[in-house]
Amino acid sequence: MQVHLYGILTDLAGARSLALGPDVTTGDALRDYLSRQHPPMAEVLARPSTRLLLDHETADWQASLASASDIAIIPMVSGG
Amino acid sequence: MAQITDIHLAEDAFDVDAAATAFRQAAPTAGAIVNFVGQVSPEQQDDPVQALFLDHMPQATRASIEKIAAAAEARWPLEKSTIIHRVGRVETGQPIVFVACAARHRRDAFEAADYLMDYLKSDVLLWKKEIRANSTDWIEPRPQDMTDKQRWED
Repeated sequence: MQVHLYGILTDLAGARSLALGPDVTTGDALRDYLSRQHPPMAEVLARPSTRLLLDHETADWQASLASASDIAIIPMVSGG
Repeated sequence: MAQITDIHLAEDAFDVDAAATAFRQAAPTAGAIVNFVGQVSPEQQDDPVQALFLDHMPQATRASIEKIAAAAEARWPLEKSTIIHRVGRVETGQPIVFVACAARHRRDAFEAADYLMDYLKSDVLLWKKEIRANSTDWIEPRPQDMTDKQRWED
């Protein structure tokens, strides 16, 4: 399973998607895992404006990732 | 869901004159047509923006534009509207967005186009990077963009 990244997070991660770590079962755990594995992402991941999307819908960071077929993390949008 | 608005996310450069002509031909009974073209500006002369890169989520970005278009359709009696928005790399001087609104009366067409642009500038799921000669910057909405949008919320 991969987590898809957008905007500034793609540059900070050096990738458009990353593999979920072992035992990562919630959004919060995913955010912690990515912050540890990719420290440049940590500050943006911690911003209140950064959102977790499960199957293209905004989800709580506490949500389980188990039933999602698409996982994404998006920073604040810039609009068109 | 927007009913009368054509929405297109364009991966490549598009011809605004052709888009304007096609729109006018598709709205033969309208008394007023307003076209808006936004293009990439160099911003600063000493370190100009050479291009923008617009990151997007195809399905969700389109859905976010649909939501804005549906709100405009509910607010003004439009006969037709079109939104073309570039994604990917857009060079300075190239069009980035085309919005056209057709209505029976000009005030409705003007206001709807103004509304669509205000919300496109602030609410659409796009992430925009300015590319300069020696640097790149991901940008966020300006305070003015948020103020512009609030005009319609009273």
